[in-house]
Amino acid sequence: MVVSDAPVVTAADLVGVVGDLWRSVSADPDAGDAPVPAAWHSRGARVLRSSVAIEGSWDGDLVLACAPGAAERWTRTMLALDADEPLGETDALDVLAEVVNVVGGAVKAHCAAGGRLGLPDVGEGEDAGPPHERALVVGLGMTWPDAAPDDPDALFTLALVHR
Amino acid sequence: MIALVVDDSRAMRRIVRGILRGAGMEVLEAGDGQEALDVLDRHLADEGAVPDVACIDWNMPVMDGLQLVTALRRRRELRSMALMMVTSESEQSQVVKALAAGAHEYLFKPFSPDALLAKLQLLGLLPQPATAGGGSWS
Repeated sequence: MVVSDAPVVTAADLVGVVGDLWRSVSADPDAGDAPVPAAWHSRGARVLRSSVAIEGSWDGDLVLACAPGAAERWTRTMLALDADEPLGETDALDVLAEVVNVVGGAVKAHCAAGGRLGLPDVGEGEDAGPPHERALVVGLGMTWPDAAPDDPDALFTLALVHR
Repeated sequence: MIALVVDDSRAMRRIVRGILRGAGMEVLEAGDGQEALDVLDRHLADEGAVPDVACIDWNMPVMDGLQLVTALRRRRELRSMALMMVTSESEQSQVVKALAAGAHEYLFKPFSPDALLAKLQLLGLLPQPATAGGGSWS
């Protein structure tokens, strides 16, 4: 793998793809509530994580890590569930797998042709903080405009890392 | 009208199912290509009818979408079923591969409900303009 083959993806690209996905699943696609850049999780914060491998001329992973509140918001929005409807045990992880699959597909389009997108991997754990800069292609934290700026439960992060 | 939705994501199957049922379609589901073939065989045996369209994801375990399209196109009795890729694979080379394998239409994720319905209209499966009543996948 040659690092110079890494896709040229910016934080703005990620914001754009996430925004497109959010607007496609929102009840009101014209509402201005698409996620915006925000801080990273605190080290040790509990997160639900999904990742997808991108392989070919460049090998790496796209990792999505959501605080529980952010995961729930993605889940209720994508599945059109009201606030009082119960979530299935695996609904959140399934939704986050699809989110990382969609964003991963858009990222792969920035790679040299012929790359492969893996199947999403999901799990829960503690966030280790931003990836080391040598491993990181691009990464950012995001939240929703109507969330309190310092609400850690409304955060999610996306990181594209070299393998 | 009968649709087969093939996607390893339960969330995505639920979303597409909602859109298609809202358009009056009966929906069969499968989580991968092999399961889709099994569902089709059972449906053929039980109902004697071929679904009108299959909405197929690309990246799935066991048998992926491209393999499924190839397998479906080999079966003469399923030739009337329209095959539409519904996938995050957005590179032109992938679109070409899918169409060359026999897919009739291609829809990139993320998509709006109206975009999916418009594809079904293009395939001649919806007789008149239909909307999902808004931008959500509910």
